[in-house]
Amino acid sequence: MKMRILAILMLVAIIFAGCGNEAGKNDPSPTPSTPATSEPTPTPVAEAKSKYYFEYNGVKIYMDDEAKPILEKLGEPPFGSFESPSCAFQGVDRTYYYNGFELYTYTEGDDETEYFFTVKFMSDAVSTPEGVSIGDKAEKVIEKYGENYTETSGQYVYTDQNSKMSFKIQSGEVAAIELSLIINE
Amino acid sequence: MKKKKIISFVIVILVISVLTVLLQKLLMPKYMTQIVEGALTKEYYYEKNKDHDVIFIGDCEVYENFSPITLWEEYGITSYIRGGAQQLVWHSYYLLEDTLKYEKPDVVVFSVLAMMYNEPQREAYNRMNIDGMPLSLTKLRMAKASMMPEEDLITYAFPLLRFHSRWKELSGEDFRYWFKRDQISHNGYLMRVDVKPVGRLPSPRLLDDYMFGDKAYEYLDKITELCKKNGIELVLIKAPSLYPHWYEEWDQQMVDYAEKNGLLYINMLDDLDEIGLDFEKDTYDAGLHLNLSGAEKASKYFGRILQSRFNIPDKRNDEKLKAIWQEKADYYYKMEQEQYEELEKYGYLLKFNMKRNEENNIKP
Repeated sequence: MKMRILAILMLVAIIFAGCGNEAGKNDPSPTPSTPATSEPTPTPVAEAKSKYYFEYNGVKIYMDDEAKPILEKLGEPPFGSFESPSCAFQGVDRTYYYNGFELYTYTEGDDETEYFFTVKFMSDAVSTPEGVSIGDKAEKVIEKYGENYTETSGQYVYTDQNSKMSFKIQSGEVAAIELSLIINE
Repeated sequence: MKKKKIISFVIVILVISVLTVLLQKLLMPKYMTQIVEGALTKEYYYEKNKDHDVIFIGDCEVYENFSPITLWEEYGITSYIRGGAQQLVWHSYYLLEDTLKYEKPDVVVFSVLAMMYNEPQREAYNRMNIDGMPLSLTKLRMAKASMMPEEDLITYAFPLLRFHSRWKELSGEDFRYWFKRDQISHNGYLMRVDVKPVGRLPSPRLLDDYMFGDKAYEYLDKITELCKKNGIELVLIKAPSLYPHWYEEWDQQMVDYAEKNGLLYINMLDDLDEIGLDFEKDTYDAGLHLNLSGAEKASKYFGRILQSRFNIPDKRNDEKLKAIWQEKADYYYKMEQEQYEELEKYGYLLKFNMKRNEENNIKP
């Protein structure tokens, strides 16, 4: 009898051995909500506001801000949106098309709350709060943002808190601008 | 007396073991509705005739974009897609290693999109790709290579340790599929007949580094080596999905890798016209994946290359294979018909839209 009780206790102990670890917080059983995204799912590395943000019609957009209230202020995107659920529904990335820029948001798993992870500048119709637009000279970037940048893949990258401002330079001019969330891979 | 005690002990252990197995079967996710991709890995092991000319490995860009039935019907090529949701390069390597325990194909086709990932992404994807494999050293090595920091290796050997807390979430699906599974794929191909045309796609985002990572290359090297060791031709393929964006810098790396290793690399995005894809009607999610008509076009195009380049014989006159594949084709066309009927009746596919079913009070 003692042996049976011991065996049952051992079984219970084995089954619940996995309870104490952190994995329990991350439901391994996928729930509806992922397409393959072009970058790994964002995981913010800091919570403080960055000095880098985007402003349009008086609305400020910081990376990892909740998107819904800001999208409501911006109004219906004039050029629609794009939705890319990941393989097997592990989150959804959305892109909202505005005049001169695209806003990218992500969701995590079952939680349908959207957060910003990228603002992509599409034309010189918009500029950074510091006044840099696509088509400006590379010197203007350094004049406005300083020399504290890293250069990678032809880009000047400025980082602060959870955000980075990237300027792609081609033939001495700004060819692309992106504000994006710094992600941990 | 001592003998009696031993017998009693053995019986107790047996009863506990059986109960544990039953409990594990009940508590593990079944992946029979909505997230059916999770059932793909396991389904291969139910396949009776594990003898294929071609094995595909990779992510959704293989299991959504190629149809083995079309390869059979058009070219007499037997194939199986060992795909999985966000199957990363190390998943693909170990799945191939495991597959080679059962069969030796002439050609292995690897979807290169996964090269963009150099680190494990999410436990849920690991579970979908790994849990369906029978326990073996290959499975444990695969889990070790794939685990997120918070995961434990032992939970891949004994999944009950991970899923015991699911008792709170058990649904009718868990009981309905406790001991059996529906066949959800067609030799690994996940069929969808619905249509969502391509609209405007997001602009390619800037990347900090366009070079694929060391770990991705390490496992691609392992796949290449494993194929060479087994006399298998390896083909690298970029399927004709329009999103995520396939950067020129990525493409060039695959061109260089293929050249260096004497492999065939096909970027199907370069041949969209020749394939005949019409993204107004050949995709079910605006360009991320192909639907049935798109997958059949992609398969006709790719089958032609497989046949001409690797001289894979047409086996349609083999009576035994003919019977096996006829049965597969019957199921394929039955599912196609059923999906069209669902589309007409509900306006969407029930299995892939559980939330809408709930809203509409429909029980598929």
